[in-house]
Amino acid sequence: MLSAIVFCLLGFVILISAANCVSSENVIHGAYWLLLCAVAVAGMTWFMGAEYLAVTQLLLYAGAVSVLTIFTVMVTHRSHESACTEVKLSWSALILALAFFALIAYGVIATPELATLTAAHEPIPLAEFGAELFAVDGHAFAFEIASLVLLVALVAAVWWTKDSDLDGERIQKSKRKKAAKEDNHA
Amino acid sequence: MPEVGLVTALLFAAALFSVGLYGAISRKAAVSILMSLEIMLFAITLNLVALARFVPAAQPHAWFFTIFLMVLGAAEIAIGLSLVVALYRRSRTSAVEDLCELKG
Repeated sequence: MLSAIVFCLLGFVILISAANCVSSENVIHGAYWLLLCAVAVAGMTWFMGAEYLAVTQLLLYAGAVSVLTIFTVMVTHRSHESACTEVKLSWSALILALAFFALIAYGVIATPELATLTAAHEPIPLAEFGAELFAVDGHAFAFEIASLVLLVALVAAVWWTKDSDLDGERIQKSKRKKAAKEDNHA
Repeated sequence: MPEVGLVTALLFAAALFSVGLYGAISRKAAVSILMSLEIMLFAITLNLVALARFVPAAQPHAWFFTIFLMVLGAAEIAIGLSLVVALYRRSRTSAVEDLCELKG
């Protein structure tokens, strides 16, 4: 059951950590705020009755994606100066985000049917959910396609980032060029 | 204890999405933009889970959508971060405004 206190508490943590993630000058601080945000979102998912999705969220986002993000920051922004960027308030982005929120809020509030749906019903049991997810006439095919997409994406990610030998060759080539130039000058 | 309704949950998810949208537009480092995209994905996840809880007809399907959303979100973030690393190798920067050269 999602009581108002739990919702307010988790919602406060989620919004504060998301705002800090978006506005932190240091990228690595942003990554840690994102980790907190992912954990709080998993908590809210848990209290909304989707325990399985909460655990998946925790494993996938708080675990794998956060580690991947922090590793990328470590590889690309090696010095303190390159990790820190100046953060200025962007009025155009703020206006666009507020306009988007206003549009969605108007849509939600202007639909009176939504307000009648206050009583939450019991979530379906996990066994039933799993049986339908992996049923051949259910979502099994879509699930396989999704896992194939993930596999291809991960292989592509490895393929894109692996050309370190090429990189070393390029640096050596430029060094050789420099040395040849210096020889010519001498 | 009063229970939270669907309208509150949807408004909260919209607010979280707006925070992510602001970050995705205003930040300059590519990693920060990807993190903002993740915040937007969190908002969509919360939206779907709230709909599954309050709308009886949406019950199992919203959860299936959430699973596929998580899988595709993970794929997107892996591709995005590897692109950031590849671009950094090539141009020694990850600020998106410096990456304005085609076929460089």
